[in-house]
Amino acid sequence: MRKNKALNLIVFAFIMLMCSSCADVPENVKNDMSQYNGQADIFMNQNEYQYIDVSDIAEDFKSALEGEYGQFEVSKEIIIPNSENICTMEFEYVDNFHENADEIFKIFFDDEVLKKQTIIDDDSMQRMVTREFYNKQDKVYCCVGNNGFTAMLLPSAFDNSFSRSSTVIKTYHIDRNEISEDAYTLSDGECTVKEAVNFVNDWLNTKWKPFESYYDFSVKTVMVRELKEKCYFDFVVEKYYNGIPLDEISDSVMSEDENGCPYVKHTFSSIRINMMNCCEISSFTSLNGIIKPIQSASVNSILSLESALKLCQSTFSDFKAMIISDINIKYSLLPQYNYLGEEITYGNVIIINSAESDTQAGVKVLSRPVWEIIIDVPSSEYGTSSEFNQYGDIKKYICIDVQTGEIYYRLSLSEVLKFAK
Amino acid sequence: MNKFMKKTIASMLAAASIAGAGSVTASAASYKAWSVYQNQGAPTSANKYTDTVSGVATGYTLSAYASSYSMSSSSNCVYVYSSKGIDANITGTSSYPSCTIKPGESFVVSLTLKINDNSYLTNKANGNVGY
Repeated sequence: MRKNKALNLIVFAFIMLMCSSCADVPENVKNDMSQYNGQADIFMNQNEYQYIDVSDIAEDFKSALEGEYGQFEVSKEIIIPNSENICTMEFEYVDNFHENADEIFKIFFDDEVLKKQTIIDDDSMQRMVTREFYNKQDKVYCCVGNNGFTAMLLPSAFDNSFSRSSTVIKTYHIDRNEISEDAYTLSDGECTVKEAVNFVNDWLNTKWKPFESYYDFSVKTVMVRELKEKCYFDFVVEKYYNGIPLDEISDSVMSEDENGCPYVKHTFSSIRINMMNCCEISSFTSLNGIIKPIQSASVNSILSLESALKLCQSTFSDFKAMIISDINIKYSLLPQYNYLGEEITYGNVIIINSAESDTQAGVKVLSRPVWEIIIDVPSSEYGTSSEFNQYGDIKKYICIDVQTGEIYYRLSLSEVLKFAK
Repeated sequence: MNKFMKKTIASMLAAASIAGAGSVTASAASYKAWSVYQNQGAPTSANKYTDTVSGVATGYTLSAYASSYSMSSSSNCVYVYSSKGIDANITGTSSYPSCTIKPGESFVVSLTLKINDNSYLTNKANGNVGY
């Protein structure tokens, strides 16, 4: 206990030292917002910004929501997050996960179906080993990789596969308590959003949990998509580590190193499920694979929400009115991998032959707790109602490191749409 | 030329469009096709244009590739980057490097056109993630 206090004092003194030697938001940062996408290294003025004890988050959150932040208007509907166990984390992509393949096949398919499949072990790729089957005739597919990548298609979802091109007719933010009794006609009949969400949450936390036991799972968003005059539910699932969600929105944010070499700076960890028939897991994908927590260190004091919002106000001073739809604390995910590899030249084409993929088994992922500030984008901003709408859940975001105040953001509509889920 | 090549080249040509002289377009109509190009006739120097495409693979085996043509100078180049790596045992011809992505797998592929001189150029780089 005494040691912790001493450590806290040292950390606090270090932060204060950093703050006192740095200026306010630099003009060049303010002026370089034209792309509305990227990151800004902001150092806070100690007189302007406050740190709070993590045990005071709920109270701080409540009072911060009542404040005014210039061009940012904060929605009154925001739910106070339960975020008292905040840590800095280190994760790692699991290895040898394909050894679970036969058990995983059984949670998706019955024995009769499995008996007919030709299961292969594919080690032809450098970056991932898989155990899988793909049967066009029976319209079934399941693949389990050594890095935790798992994907599955039942016959009802096989033709649509993992496509996201169907029109979204309605989006429900389940994490904002939009759990609705609205019913939609799926392939086999009517199903309400509520029963579908309850089924998926229950399935994940019982059937899937043994394979990814570090987390609790919860449906974050449901998109109702239209396909051949019927509907299906498209679920985005969040993973919670000790009550705090892992980043699911930063869809492989690219950056460049000092030599101009591209790499994935921020990644995400999430699950995507489609339901074509009522209360059926019709398709499943773990997208990037599975990361497991390997180290954590408690964070005792964080930048107050009020300070985080003031930081937004001063950093994005050129912006017009924006409504903040949601605020959370989440774990950002920064893969630490060898992206340089070697350059191979074919005529004028240079290929960066990566030594590692950012999602490869064994790759470490550093994690920082951040304030996540969400700005929903209404469909009127990116199309008219007569236009084809495949997006459904479009969000701009600003993330602020709860310890250092470093900001990264995606506020460019074209970038948001490019990476839309 | 195999069936895959024919299909991808066809979609590549379909994706091509003309921008105003000297302007540069980096577009991504969908996660399946994207392009970065500098239209003809514009003197330029030390420029670099990037487009990135991401999504979830829908087909059994997907290939990401890039091609460049009508280069007026050997100092112009196209960079191809895939977060999943480029497989060393490249399939297709040297102009079509690829990486294999499993159905359901999330991917990000980046294509960069880098122009290092002051030549008059007719440059284009195209990419596709298809099957």
